[in-house]
Amino acid sequence: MKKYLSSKIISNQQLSKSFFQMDINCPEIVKISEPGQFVNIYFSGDKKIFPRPFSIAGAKNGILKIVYKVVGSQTLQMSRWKSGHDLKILGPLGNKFSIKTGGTHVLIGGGVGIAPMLFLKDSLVTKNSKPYLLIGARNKDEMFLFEDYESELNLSTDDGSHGFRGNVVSYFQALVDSMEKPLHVYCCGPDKMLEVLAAYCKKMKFDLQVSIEKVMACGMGLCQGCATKTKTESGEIKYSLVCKDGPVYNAGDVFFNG
Amino acid sequence: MVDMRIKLGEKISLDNPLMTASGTFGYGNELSDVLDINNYGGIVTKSLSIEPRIGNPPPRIVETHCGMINSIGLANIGVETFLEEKAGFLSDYKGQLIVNIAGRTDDEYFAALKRLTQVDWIQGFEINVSCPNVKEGGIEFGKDPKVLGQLVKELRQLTDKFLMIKLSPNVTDIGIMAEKCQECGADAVAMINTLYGAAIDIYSRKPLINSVIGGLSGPAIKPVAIASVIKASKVIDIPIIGMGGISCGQDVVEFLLAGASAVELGTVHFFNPHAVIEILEFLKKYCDENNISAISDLVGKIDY
Repeated sequence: MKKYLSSKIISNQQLSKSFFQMDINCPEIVKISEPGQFVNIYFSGDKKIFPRPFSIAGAKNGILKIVYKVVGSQTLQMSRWKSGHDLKILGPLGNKFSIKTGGTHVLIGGGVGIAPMLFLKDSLVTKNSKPYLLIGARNKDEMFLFEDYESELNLSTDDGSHGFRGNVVSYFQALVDSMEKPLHVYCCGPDKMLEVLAAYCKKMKFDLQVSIEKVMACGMGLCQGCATKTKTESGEIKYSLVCKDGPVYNAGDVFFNG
Repeated sequence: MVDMRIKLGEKISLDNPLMTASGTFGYGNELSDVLDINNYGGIVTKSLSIEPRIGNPPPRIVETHCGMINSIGLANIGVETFLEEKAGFLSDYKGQLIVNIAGRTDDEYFAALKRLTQVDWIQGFEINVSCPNVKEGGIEFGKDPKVLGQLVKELRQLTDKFLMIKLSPNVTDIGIMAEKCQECGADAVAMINTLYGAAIDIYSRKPLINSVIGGLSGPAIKPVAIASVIKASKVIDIPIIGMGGISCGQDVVEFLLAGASAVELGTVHFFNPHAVIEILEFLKKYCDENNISAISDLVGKIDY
């Protein structure tokens, strides 16, 4: 049961050069949110009309957390909203990660793809699990989480300015021998990164769920604009709506160029 | 108390002039946890074809200034699945349920209409004539008055229920098309469908939607829609259902003054899920403040 509400921003703080964290007071949405789901945030009086979808990065004590990167005019506008600002929000939207039991959980976030991994980590921690959390950023300026006692945190930067030098998938491959099998891998990040990781996990027979991103208008299946090519369990090809059928998919069901 | 009721000819009465535009409201159940769908006087479903259609490959949408371009390709579940899956929910709806029908040949329209007209919880039909006619080299049914007239005449033979034709603005004179629909027995016309639109990524030089040219909707097209309603209202007597870029109550009043008897809300559903509630509030307040006792008194009252 999604809700469309007017909610107050509690805090909106800059985490790094272009990353922000917004805490929003909306217990009604928090109560029913699951890791992997997202919310829509609405804008008014603008040349751009679409709401913008954001993965839920945390949901507890009535407070919904999103972590966002300033990439365009709408996220720039958001970065200027102060605590006390009322915003229109719709959620929770989309499906959720299916949390596997037993084995080792490996959470991989590339860039702003870290957002849903933070909520997934919270959820695993309440289930007495200490997951691996691998975060990849372009450089140190884009990195914002340097310590975390609830997870086995491993950081990488493309330019080597902090942690492992290279992309986060290469770092995962470097660490994989030290991880106790079986592995359950969850990832959110750019398509190219997901594609490379999916090929690797397929080869290694690791179970992988990915959260993918598409331009959306409505966020709830009304417009059918966010279609992406997927496979059903029987191998049939179909157009799946990322807003409603996704954003989380088993990696084997997704065509990353679809 | 303002009387919000609207009569669309003899066959349909709406509790208020607000309906949903096809393709922007799913099949009616998607928004039901966010608002009471009985706020709408009428619901127009997503376009249905006799067989299911998977629709066009991505990318299907792009945001443009005050609007969007879409090329969904009439993705839909098909008539039979619609009847099986949506009957329970939609038969509880208190307003008027209009099913939008699409086809690629005359026969596809006929087959869908024949099947759907037997269903008692469906009160009427809106015909999407902006589909390419595969037998006529892909030219849209709604582009040629002769082809359009023939289609309307034959559809009229197949149903006594409310039959409305949704017209495209991508023609030289929408008034000629509206006249043709009236002459061939349509109960009403709806206008406007989307305008042609395209957008290009200047770095990759690629078109931003799969089909290169798609349909532009949203606030950007409202003046075109108002002009179309004014043109049509000068030449026909059957009701006009106006749409195109409505985002607030003021826009609805403008459509009514231009000559629309009712309106459809479309793209606004994507950026304001509560639009219908806010618009109804505005309309009541506007009528109260301007001593208008029945909203139908506004229809066609543009003061030239």
